[in-house]
Amino acid sequence: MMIPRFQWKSLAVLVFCLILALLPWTINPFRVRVFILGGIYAIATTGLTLFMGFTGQISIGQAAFFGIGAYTSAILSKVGFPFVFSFFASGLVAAACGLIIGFPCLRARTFYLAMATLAFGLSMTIIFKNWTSLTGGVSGTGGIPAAGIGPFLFDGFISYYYLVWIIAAIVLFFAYRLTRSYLGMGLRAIGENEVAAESLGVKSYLFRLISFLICSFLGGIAGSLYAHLDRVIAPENFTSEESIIFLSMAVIGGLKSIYGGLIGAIVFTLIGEQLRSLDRAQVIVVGGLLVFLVIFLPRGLVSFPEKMEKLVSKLRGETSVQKIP
Amino acid sequence: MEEVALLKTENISKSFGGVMALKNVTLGIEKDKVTALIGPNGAGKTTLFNVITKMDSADSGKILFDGHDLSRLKPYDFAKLGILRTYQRSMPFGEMTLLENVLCGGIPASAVGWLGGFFRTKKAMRVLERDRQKAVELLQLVGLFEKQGMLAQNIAYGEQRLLEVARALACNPKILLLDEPVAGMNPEESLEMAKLIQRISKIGLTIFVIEHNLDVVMNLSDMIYVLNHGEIIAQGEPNEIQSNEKVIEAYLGRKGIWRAAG
Amino acid sequence: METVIQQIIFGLTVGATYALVALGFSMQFRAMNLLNFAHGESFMMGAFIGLFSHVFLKLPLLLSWGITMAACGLIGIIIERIAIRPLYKAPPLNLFICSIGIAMILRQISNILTGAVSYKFPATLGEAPVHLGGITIVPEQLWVIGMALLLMFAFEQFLKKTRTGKAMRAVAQDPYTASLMGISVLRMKSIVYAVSTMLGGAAGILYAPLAYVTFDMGLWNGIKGFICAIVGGIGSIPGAILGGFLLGLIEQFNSSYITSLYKDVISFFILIIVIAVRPKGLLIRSKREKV
Repeated sequence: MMIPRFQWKSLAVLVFCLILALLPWTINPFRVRVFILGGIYAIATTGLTLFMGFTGQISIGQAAFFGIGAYTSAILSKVGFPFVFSFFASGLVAAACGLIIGFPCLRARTFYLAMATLAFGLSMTIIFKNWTSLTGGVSGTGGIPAAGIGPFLFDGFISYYYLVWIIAAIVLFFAYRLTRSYLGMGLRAIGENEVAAESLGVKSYLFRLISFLICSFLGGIAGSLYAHLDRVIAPENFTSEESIIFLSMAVIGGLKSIYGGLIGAIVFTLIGEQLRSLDRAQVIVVGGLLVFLVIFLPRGLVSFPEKMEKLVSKLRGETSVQKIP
Repeated sequence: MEEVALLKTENISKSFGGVMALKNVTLGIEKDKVTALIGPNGAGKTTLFNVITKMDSADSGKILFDGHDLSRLKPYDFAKLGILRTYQRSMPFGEMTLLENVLCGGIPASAVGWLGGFFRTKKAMRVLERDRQKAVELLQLVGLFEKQGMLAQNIAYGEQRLLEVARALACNPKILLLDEPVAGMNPEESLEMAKLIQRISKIGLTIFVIEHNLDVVMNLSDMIYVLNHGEIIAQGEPNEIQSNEKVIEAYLGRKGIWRAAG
Repeated sequence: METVIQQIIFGLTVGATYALVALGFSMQFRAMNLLNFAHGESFMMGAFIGLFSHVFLKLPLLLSWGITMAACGLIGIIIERIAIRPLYKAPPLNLFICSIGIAMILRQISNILTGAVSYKFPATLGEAPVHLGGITIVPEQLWVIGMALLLMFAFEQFLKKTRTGKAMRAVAQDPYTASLMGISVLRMKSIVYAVSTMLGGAAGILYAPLAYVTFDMGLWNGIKGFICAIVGGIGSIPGAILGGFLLGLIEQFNSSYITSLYKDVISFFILIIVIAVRPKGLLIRSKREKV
């Protein structure tokens, strides 16, 4: 008798949450920063997964939204606005930019948005570097105040760690709810077969646009969290290479699952340390990983257990097992 | 007949390049009846469907549904009006289960809107449960109840087409446009589909079907239109059509069509 | 007045290289249903291989050309075999993602090999400007436009007159029927990829004297190639060429009369506007998806 899968999943989630909760107390405080980064990336990447996994389109501009969010939060906070305001404003400003791009491009074919987001990303890099009065130019913006909510000030790594991961958990929860909603179903339907979805009444353009706005919003708030981490940002953090890294995280994690973004971000953060020692070769590794995975494990790491199962039953000579969710 | 026409086309013409795909096509689909559109390959039948559902635009002519002009609509507006269509090729949502496929029919009409299910309000849960019940019933209606948990891409082609009918029904249609529902099916599957169509029409649904399989058509329809080279060459009840010279001529060269079809 | 003509010539010069890149894009899209993110990197590769042969190995220009084209073709064949062929049956999205990975790898290899340094490629026909009736032009510009047109013409003849070319067109139009007629679709796709990489490489080596050669020149030029292909109508070869020259001209006028700093940003807005207003491009007639 097959043990129902969801029990394993719930157990895994529980263990994961426990590890997350206890982590900062078990390691060197300076290493906590890496895991904070993981959480921030998880938020941005989940946005990408929600968009790309559902609609089958690609965004190569997530780092630009990330940067827009970071700069927005930095500028607003330095002027004196409270963190919570800056945080949400970052998301909204990023989403507004997403609207500008998405509005014309999501009507058209798949790759238009991909190229447009890439061009957008490259353009934003130019703007970040040159609009010195606003962004501080190439050397960036520093002196960003620490995040504070009410009486709490999150100026240490450990407190920030919890802030980031609580937000990440909320984002994931929303993502989960989204997939269960009719919006989520509509998005999946569009991704499967747009013609059929439209004849059922799904306004594909609108759904895609909304999903893209969510993606850019999440990119923006992740950027805000990033700005308040080191409290200094520079254009080199938000280049198109970074966008491609976000994309890779989402793809490697697995586009079809809401946990894909989380898994991709964590994998990258963990091996990021190892990769750093390779210096410039690390991008080659990532690129190679991308190519390899797309060919052999197109659903990303999330599908790894499934693939293993199929392989094992194939080896055993069993016929394919029908899954009943 | 014209008075109770639910869906009417008036003088629809359309050309592709230099070819007239549709020439002054005027027909009326009567409410609660099964109307069929037959004709040789390339006659323009699917083009007519595409024009009706705005996937293609007509060069001239009007389409009226329940008295309303449909010319300003987009393809996704039709479901809300109650006009649902299926396609010649099977178009399942492969990576979703059969149940989920049928549930998709509830998206636009959902009483809780897009964010239905996002906020787990009591009302939302009730609506979701009700929709789920309805989806299960529809799967029973088409005979796919046992397979509801399977992924749509894993079921047989004939079953996928039955699924699509169930999915369309989930939208509470007033009229169903079926484009060659038994295309590509073997005799058993065709019979299943024919029986299903019969069941549905008895429930009180208007059906407009394009079909090549003349056995199916003759047994099911209340009214038949024959299209050839974009023009209506005949219309009437099945027995009238069977003996119509022009119709036989249009199908000339295909011996024993009445027997061999299907 | 002279300056306007000079601007036009310069715009056409750069535009010619864009056109060659856009050509490759369109071709790959038509024949292989592939949107190749890595196409811009063939531009970069051409520039560097040309640089290496001509400047470092001090080989004569024409020989460097030959080496560059051959090397690009070879690299194209290898890439297609290893990374693209396995994905023909997969949804096009996967191919696109794969091309992103390929682009990353190529770019980074270049980065490691060459360092983040800008290299100078000497002018082909000497630096001395020529004065023609009041207009000053650099012979380089004529060379670039001339070579680009020559390549396009050669390519067109290849498509129309040779058996391979005709087979390629058949595959682009209808792969299934082409295969029924005995054409090896796989081989054709491989050839398409190799040829478009060669064209991109040629564009690179043509462009090299006009600006600096750096490891990241592939990215923006890839986008510009894409913009041109879109403006002309993706999949249309004359469209790609038209789009190339057009973009070159627009950029040049932007740069002179508006702002040089943000000229790339303006190219981006052009892209958005074109997509919004006429997504099918200027030369493509609307084709409906058959249901």
